[in-house]
Amino acid sequence: MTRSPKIRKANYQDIPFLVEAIIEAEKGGSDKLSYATIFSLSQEAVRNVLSEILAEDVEGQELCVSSFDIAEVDEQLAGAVCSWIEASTGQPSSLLKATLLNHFIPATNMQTAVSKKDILVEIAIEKPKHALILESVYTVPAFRKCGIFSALMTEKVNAVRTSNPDINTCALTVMKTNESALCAYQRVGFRVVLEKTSHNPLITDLLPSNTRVLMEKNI
Amino acid sequence: MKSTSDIIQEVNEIFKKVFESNDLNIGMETTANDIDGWDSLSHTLMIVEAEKHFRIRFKLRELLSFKNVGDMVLAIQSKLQS
Repeated sequence: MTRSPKIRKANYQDIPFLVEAIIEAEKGGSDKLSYATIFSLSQEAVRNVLSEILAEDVEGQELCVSSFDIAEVDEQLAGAVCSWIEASTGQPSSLLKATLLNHFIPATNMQTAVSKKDILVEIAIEKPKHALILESVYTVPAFRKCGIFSALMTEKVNAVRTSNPDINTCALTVMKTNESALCAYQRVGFRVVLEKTSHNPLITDLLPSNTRVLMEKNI
Repeated sequence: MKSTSDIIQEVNEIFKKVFESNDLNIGMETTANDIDGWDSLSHTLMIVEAEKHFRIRFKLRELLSFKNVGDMVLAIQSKLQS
């Protein structure tokens, strides 16, 4: 029988696991890794870029070691989630992340991404300001259906209730084809508040789905 | 030596090009909230174009600390002076 997960803050030694978490969460159960398709990078190159960015530990966006919480079961890594209060550093998370990607990804690959802008913008969803944002939600396959996400989220929400009592919304985005994640989020009280769909046939060359969903939950 | 108003005019031309809008008129306090379409890719383009135009290179921590256009203009001015 699986024991209750122990939740702790991530540290620099966790970077390889966090890279795995980011990549698997981004794929959302598919084999499509948007960082690779959008920037024309190999999966190995994506791993290197993500490791370098995580090591910078820039708060207020999703590629930041100290913004991750880790779940352990019997001293094994079982899951992770990244969280932050959107725009609390003064810049939206999307701009901070773009600045980091632009710094670590070669210029020619960045130009490739810019050429795909018109396709991607159709399903871009701005994260709600001053909400607790969850990103890169990941559970190791062996620990699925063991309440890992629920434990990570509960720990985070309780911490934010104490540290930021004015924050009353928790939000996340998910690709619509990731049905297991959608169901898991609905089970813990998230509801769909926005859906954006692209009818451009090229979108599924870049992303796992042509529809992105914003879900929110009152906290 | 370029004044902040000289620099902001040149930055305004970069914004017009990136955001494809001839009507743009930015100020020191302008932020991403004030301009339609200021998303992650246009943000990246804007940085690349500013570096190319002024022949400078921003440090990563500088870019991450910009809260508005004014922060970027002052950083450009400082680099042009040094």
